[in-house]
Amino acid sequence: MADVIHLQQYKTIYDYYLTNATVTPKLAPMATSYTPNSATDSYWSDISASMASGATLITLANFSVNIDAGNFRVEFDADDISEASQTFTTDKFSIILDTGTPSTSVILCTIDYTEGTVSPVNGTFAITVNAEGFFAFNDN
Amino acid sequence: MATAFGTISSVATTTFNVTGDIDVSKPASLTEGDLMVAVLQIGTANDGVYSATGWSEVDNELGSVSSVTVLAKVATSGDVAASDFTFTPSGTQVGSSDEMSGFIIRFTGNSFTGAENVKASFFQDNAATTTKTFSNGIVPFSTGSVFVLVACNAQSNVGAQSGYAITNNDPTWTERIDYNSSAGSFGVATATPSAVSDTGDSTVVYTASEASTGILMAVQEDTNQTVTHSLLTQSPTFTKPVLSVGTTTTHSLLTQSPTINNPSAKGSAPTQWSNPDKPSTDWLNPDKL
Repeated sequence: MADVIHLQQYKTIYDYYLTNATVTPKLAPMATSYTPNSATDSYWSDISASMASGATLITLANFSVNIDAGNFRVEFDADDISEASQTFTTDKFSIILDTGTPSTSVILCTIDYTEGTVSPVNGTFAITVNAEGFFAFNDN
Repeated sequence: MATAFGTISSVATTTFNVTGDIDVSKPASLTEGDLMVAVLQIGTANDGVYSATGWSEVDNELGSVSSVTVLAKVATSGDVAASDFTFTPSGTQVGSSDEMSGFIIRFTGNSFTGAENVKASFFQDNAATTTKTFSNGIVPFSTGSVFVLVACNAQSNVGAQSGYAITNNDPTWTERIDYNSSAGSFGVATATPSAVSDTGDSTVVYTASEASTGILMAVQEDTNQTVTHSLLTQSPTFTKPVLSVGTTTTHSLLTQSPTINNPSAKGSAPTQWSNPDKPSTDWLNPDKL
């Protein structure tokens, strides 16, 4: 007998919140000095001061929650990102659901870049989103 | 083409009461599109930010010994044709005898925008010592950028300068300026970063025990960045309930006897019955008619 979390609940709950809470999924390039704390960093107001100097929040297009039946997990995905005229230094990014109020905009995840620390200099900053999405919850 | 140090001008010096501004010569071999970074100081306590037409400010540090401004500009054809550039300090504390000095570094690369191409951090070490330690760590743009370490004093001759270093991943430094006079001193060295991580403190060694303002800069041409990331997966933790094995027991039949509240009987005795004689033989009982 296997222990599993049934995946549809994640999709149902997130889809409901994304539809009804009037939130905008956004990505924040974070400063190299930022060390995430999953227990205490809850809302954008907790970490906004640690966004990379010179960076701004980037809206994620087509953010979606999808069940990957083959891998038995629910995945959080969006389109690739490409922002022109960016100047900052960063080694990780956070994704938030922006309500317009930092103290109610929940943080979903913080993820390192494979390339380590990068610095666009008045150039295009692009993130190629992993083929499976940003993050996922497994069923067990 | 990666960003590279090009040339550096000689140090210009003057006092504020001469013209109220300072002319710094054009760095040699200036070419249209090059990035020029000017470092200017004035011996005004906590005042005196420089500006110049067409130049954008990277940052400034207003100190008790030196007030320093860093400006940047992408060279135009007009700049290439010029012989020098004029910078003007402003501030209510700027006085007639204040010493001014400055220089310009030229960088080459593929494409520059201006101040965005320069990352600078300042620190004042006002102690009268020879080993100057500046808490001005930065993270360079990349290993393709250029470090510039500047130590300056606008009021004193600090003697010969040497010992340029950063705490972490110290690269090989090349001294570009070792200027020391009573009109102001500059020590300037450049290097190629060997790591894209925090430099930690920087240090410069003076011959004389003097105060100093240290500037650590990283310069890089316009650069695009494309990054990737791995999928972050999270597995649930199942906290299973602990099953308690019970003890099998017997129990007796629970019986409950009713309590009956009997009604109390209440009745009256019938009246005494009598059987009188008929009044006559033809008497009829009227109750039976």
